[in-house]
Amino acid sequence: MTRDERGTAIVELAVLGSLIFGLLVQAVVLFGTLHRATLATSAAAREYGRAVMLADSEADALARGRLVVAQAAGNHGLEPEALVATVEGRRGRGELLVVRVRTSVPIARLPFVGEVWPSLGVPVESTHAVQIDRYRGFG
Amino acid sequence: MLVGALLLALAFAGLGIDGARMFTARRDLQNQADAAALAAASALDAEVYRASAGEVTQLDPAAARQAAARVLAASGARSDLAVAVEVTPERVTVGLRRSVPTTFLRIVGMREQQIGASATAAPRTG
Repeated sequence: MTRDERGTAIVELAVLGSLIFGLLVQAVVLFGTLHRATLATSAAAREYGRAVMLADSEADALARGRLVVAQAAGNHGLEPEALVATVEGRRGRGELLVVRVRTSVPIARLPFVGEVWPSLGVPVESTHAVQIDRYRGFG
Repeated sequence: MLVGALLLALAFAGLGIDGARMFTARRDLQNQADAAALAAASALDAEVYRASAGEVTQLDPAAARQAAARVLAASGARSDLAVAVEVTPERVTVGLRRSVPTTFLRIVGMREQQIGASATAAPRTG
């Protein structure tokens, strides 16, 4: 191998290494974003369940639920509308309610560029079940 | 040197990813245990309550276990989840255990990690 060829190999290694390192950093950032979304949906589902369980009426449950979901999103650095919550079940003593909170994490996002393909995302969902107290009173 | 640095970065990234997965799984398990314990704590023994004219509130063990199982099933508990429900007349403790498979920690021989969570709840009147 001549001196010139050795130099070429070093340059190739530097370029390839930077590319691989960049992809690795991108993968770590993506995983961090997915992890944040998982924590946000989990916290929102738990808090929504608690809020619905303690609410006195449907309107109260909806208002409390929206508030805690927005708070959970804000606490995790997400926009309030990023989390979508639904509740299954009937509100009544001893009844079981299942809360689901969903979001979508964009995976085609580049540093300094933003989202390249906005519709391409990984869905993240958390489920939390709560039972309304059998002996509670509704105001 | 570059290859070594990349491998080291990959190892630390993998450790972070497996650690984060375990953290999330542990958190979900705690949420399930809390909800199950709260539901079980509302399973009062109605006969004792009526017989004592509302003076004594104690748990019905069978109903408490059933309530906990119902909540765990609705919250999408995995089939490999080990559930232990201990009920005394005053309180109920729900203990959950399961294993989380690892991805990167397999390199160092750790194929899975056991995680657990427990929650205790007691009925309160008034």
